[in-house]
Amino acid sequence: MTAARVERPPDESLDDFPGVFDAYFDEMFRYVSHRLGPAHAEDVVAETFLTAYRKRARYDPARAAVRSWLYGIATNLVSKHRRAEVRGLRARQRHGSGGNVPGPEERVTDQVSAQSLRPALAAAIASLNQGERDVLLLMALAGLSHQEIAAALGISYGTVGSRLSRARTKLRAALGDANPMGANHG
Amino acid sequence: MDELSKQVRELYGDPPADAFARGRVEARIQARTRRRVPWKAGVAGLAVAAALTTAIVVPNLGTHAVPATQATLSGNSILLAAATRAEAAPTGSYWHVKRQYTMRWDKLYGGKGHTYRLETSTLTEQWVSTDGRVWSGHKQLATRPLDEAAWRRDGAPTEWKVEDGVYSTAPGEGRLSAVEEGGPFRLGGEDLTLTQLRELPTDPAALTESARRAIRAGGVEEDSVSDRVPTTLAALLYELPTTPEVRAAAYRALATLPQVTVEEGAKDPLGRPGVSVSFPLQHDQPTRGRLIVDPGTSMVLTYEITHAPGKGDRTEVVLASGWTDAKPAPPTTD
Repeated sequence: MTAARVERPPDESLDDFPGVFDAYFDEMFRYVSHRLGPAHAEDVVAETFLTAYRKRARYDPARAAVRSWLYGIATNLVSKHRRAEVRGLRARQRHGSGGNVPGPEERVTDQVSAQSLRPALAAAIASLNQGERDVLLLMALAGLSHQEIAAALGISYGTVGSRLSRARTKLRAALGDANPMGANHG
Repeated sequence: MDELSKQVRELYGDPPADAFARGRVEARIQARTRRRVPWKAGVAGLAVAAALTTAIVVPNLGTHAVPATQATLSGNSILLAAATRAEAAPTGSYWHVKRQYTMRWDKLYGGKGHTYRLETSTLTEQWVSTDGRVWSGHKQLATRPLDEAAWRRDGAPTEWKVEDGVYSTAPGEGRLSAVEEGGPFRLGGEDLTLTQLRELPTDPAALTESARRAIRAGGVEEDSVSDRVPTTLAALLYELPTTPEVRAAAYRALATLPQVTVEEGAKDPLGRPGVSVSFPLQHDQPTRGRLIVDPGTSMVLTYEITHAPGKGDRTEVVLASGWTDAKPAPPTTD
């Protein structure tokens, strides 16, 4: 079998664009839905793939995997909708969770203690600057490594680290304020 | 994952699954690229057409458990016979391709105890005139609940809302639109004018060489070029507005490829009998492309992508492909 290909798209050259769309649509849609809600997600994900298609000649496999590269494009497009993102986070802050994705299908989490922290966490994420939020969410939601985030955003490894550490500090502070048990986390 | 990341993930939760999102996003990409780049209108190479339709295509259309008898020796002769038929195919004022895509969605509809899934189908048509103008037609077909009993228990709804539209048990209207900037036509990784397409070699070996050149133009690594020859030739069989002689050469060229397997006794999803012409899409992967061809008429009946790891089969049913004098018209189910 071809275990080495597990994390690789069918064709790193982007020549097989249909294959790339197939392989990454779900992941990109999920990431952008998380950040902007499903209403914006379709626009932004379509734009992500259109941008990737237009810029495919400039894609350099030596610098970033297709997956990271797509996350970079999606993240840049998400940042143009900063207000929608912050609005969604404010809604999560008010309702505790899922502010922009209400509905019966939403999975009920059993993490009651974590739920009580949600308003504070949402507020803290909303208060981050865009660069800090991008790095935090590429790590937490997309599961990208420092190296992959650096490649995706075209920033240095060191910058990823410093943004992440600022984001963590702000989040911990917010959680600590909201919950005396906060010191146990992280 | 560290605790903070975990809390962030929990905060964001799982977005509701929306099986229709993929199709809508693809439709948007299609609408946006139609006027700008060769990734458009379906009058393009096979891989490209697949991109536009992966959402609408898809899985396991009543899988055809076909007891295919391997026709080793006669495989070549079947393709060569198809070539002879292709040469004799009629010409006309318009190249016309009509296809149906069907998809079965994972999303469950209906209330507790009577949930069901939906099957949606779309007709698409393309016309290319001999002077290179292009038209594109589209019609949503009736949506069908796959578990009819459950659907009845759920009150037999006739419409299902999706975010920016509705799927209905009634078919939609057929629409036809002229495609601005009709050409160029994509073969492999190369954009060809209608004239270049029609002037491709009619000698099988020379045509294979042209296909390889077109594939290389897309920046494909050399060890993958051979993998793409069958789909590139297949595009000439039923998608691209070329001549009967070039189509015949494409059949003859397929007959010379070592990775192509021809099996008799196949049936397409509509039950039409034909021969199966299959090939690996990538030499180190199990995924295969499969054409079902009517050797009597040389028409391609269906193109499928099978054995993709973790994915259902994708099926594209070809209802018509060839030169005609009938003028472009909105799609109908006739």
